[in-house]
Amino acid sequence: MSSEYIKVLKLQRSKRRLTELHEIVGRDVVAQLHASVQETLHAAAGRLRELLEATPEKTRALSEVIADLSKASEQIDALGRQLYPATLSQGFASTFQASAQKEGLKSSLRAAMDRLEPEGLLAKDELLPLQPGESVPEMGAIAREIDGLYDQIRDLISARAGDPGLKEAVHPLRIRLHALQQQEAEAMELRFRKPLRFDPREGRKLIREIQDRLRKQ
Amino acid sequence: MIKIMPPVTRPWNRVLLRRHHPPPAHYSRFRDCLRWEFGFTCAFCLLHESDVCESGVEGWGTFQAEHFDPQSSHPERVNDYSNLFLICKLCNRARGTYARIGADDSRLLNACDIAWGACFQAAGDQLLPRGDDPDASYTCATYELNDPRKVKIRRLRRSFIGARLAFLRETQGDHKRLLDQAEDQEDPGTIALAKRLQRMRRLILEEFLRYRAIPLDSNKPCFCAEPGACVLPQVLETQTFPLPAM
Repeated sequence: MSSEYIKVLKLQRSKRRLTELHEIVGRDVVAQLHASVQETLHAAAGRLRELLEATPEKTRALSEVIADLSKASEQIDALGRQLYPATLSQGFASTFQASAQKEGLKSSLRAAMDRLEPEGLLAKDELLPLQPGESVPEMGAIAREIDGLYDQIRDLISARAGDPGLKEAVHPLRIRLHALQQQEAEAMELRFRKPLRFDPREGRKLIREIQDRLRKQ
Repeated sequence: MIKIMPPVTRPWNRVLLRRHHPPPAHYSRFRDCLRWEFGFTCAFCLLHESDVCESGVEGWGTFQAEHFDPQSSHPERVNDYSNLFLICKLCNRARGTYARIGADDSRLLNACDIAWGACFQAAGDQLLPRGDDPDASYTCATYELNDPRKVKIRRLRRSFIGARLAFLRETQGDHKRLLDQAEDQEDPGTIALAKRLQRMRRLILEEFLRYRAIPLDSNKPCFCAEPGACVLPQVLETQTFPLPAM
């Protein structure tokens, strides 16, 4: 066998290995797109649906966000189909970029984020220092009523142990107790926020400024 | 090194073995032992003392000694250390006089007999029973582990620490980069930005101190003076993180 022929054989083997590797990477990326990114988007959409129930005043804005996220999810799906496996021969990075652009994935996600930001919806879970007009309510009265309710429940349980009607008797007290606990929880949040000095919105603003400044370099 | 509480306390994946062995005495003298024993954390709902009172709980009555077998029905166990747990006021009030064994024969879980994580899981800001274990459900209901106030307190810590950690991570190394750039370009505007960043990072570190894992009012030695026992239990220690550097 001539050395030229051996070289050709080696080159063919290398090419085959590269193609196989390419396919493995492609498969992996597609699997990841499905498993992680889509899962995340589904979870985000689900979470937003929960919020939707809790905050009717934000219904319209949130519905739009969910629509954007769902669109992004479909685009990820389409992307996955495009990426695997034929087009990978053109190079993975360029294929991904081209497909992502074609599918408008980035703009859908950006649209979702933009809708969340100005509406302050992202901030729902965020702790801000107390804002002008907010104040910490007096919590003593609620705490006293809660204490009183616990005493009543305890007395009822002691007096009517074994009585089949006990649960029914306790029920309205439990309902009232839960409502008061919720009120106290809301007051607790205000009290917690009162001494806060770090404002996450300021933090994000500063990060953007820093990134802009460092990019200019 | 100052340790900070994690954004979410995960239920212990191992049994919390008692390390303190106080000699016989009135139970009120065991308080410091109990605080160290349970890592200043309610044995049932896992709220930490810093969740309830940032300046220290001593004197406020917000963390108490729980008699697992109630004093009223088991007077012989009033001063029995193995019958005592560190408990937050909310859990203590919720339990009231509920018995260890419920009407349907379900039992309260003993936080020192089982790994809490085997029976409960942190789900969002709630502590939910795993599977359909009736004992875990009874324990959850009796101590009201998901009382709206507890859920809120958990959320406050998660959001507070999460937002600050995210900022620190995001700006890691930026201060030096800004200063380098300011030097290269002789740009006073960049220096001003670096200064603002430094100020904000310092502010965050100061705020983190409210969630010290070992409160400032912890007392050492405790009543039993067991060598090496006045440290956080390992199940909690591994979840804390050191106060980040500037």
